[in-house]
Amino acid sequence: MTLSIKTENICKRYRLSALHPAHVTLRQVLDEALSAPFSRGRNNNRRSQTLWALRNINLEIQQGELLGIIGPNGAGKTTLLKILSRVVKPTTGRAVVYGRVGSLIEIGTGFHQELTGRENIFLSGAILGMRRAEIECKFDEIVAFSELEKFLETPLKWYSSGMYVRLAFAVAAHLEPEILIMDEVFAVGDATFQQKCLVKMNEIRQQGRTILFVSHDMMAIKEVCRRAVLLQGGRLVADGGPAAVVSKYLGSSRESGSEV
Amino acid sequence: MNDNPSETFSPSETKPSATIAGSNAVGREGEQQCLDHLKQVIESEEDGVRLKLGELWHYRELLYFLTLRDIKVRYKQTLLGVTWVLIQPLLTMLIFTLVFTRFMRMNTGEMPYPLFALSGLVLWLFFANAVINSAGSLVFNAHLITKVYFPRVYIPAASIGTGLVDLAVSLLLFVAVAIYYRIAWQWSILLLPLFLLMIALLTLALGLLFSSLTVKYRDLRHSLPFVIQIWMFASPVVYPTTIVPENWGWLLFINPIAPILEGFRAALTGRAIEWPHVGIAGAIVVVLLIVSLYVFRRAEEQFAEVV
Repeated sequence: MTLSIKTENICKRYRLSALHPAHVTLRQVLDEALSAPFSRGRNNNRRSQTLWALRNINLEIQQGELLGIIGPNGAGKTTLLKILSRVVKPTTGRAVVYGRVGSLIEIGTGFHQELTGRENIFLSGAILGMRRAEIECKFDEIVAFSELEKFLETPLKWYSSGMYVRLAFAVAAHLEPEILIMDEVFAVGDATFQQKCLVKMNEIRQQGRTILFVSHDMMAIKEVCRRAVLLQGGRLVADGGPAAVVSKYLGSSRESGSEV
Repeated sequence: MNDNPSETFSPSETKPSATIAGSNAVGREGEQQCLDHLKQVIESEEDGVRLKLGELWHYRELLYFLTLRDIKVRYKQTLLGVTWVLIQPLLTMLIFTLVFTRFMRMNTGEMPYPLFALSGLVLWLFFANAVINSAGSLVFNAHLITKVYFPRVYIPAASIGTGLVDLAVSLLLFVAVAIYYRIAWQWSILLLPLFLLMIALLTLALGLLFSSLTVKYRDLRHSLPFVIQIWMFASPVVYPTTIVPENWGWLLFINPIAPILEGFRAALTGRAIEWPHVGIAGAIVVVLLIVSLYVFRRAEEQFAEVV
């Protein structure tokens, strides 16, 4: 099997700096504006605390895998996804990614309330990485998947939340990157919609694409994934079959008393 | 500025190491060109900055989409939005005309004062509005920056793009006023695009610079309009360079806007253009553009965390 993603000792540190922008004076701004672009955060404010969101993440993901990523809130799941989709950079370590990455870290990325459904399909598609020609080609399919033919010329601000989600997922589902990253996008949407999404995910996997799927829905994880990893406190603590990983997660959260 | 070979995002550097060959239901025929750069390495860039121009080219369509979005949204939200592009230069010109022809006499050579002022205002308002809008653009688009990757340059660039569309509209107004004043068209008007290009590049440079700084130092959003206002009075927007006293001449020398404005007017009326000054302004613009691009690219990796 060929490699899709390989991470080597990825660590991510956030500085909880005491220097909040609201408190910065003009003089400090001038001082720092001159030195900050060259110091790149090494300009250590001793009052700042650091938070290690990820520690030594070593992961190898094969092409065509549907990997579930689970863990409590604050475990670093979203941070890992953001690193893999290049939104943030790791503090140390590196990741090698083979192929385009489509990231669905939030539903409806790129949508603008004032624009119509049609305009938003193009805008969102372009922001998520599709070419204009590609969007035009798939336009009818997208509209059909969303079942929103009648509302294409209506501004998005008049859409119900269900319509919004359907449109957003319709666009996202037609992204064709080699690697798809999905972060809890199923938290919204009714049961029918969620079922539709799971079916689509399977289709995408059958096309040979890799999917990374973060969810709090343990049923969905066990249903679609053949491998899962558990993140806790920024570390990778389990890696294997979804049933085992899920029970480890539920077991430990029962111990610590935190809710699933 | 090292050339770190770890980031490969150009079609010319295809690594044959991994191909998604076997199950090639991935991708479609028409996108073969996009699948060439398969391998990307993601790591913290400790030293040096790379501009990654290949990547900018790859995402070029975003400039169109983001500019279009900004324009559409502006026009959908307010009816006045469309006419404001014309009202602002026109009204400002009328006010300054009142002050500088009725309250005091201003000699603007062969150009009637209203036309003189309008020529300065059309360019200046483009510059001022575009710089201020692009300065705040990254913060304004924080919801995109924290969720999806694309070269962030296109966000302030889209604000400049919107400004250029406004400039085109206000230039039409300017042409109308010029015709009203029966300005004699010279061959030198062929030079006008040069000055438009210069001011556009200057605007882009400052837009990139201020947008990246504003992400971290939010109060720049408030101090910038103030600075721009002062800059306006330090530039021959509504007054001719002839009224500037000798010992203040250096101000016009180091201010790149001055030769651009004067050159624009000179090209319009057929007057001789002071090429040495224009050359210096051009050099300043080019240097600023390169510096701002590097500063922006360097600051870019922190945007999603700091914004």
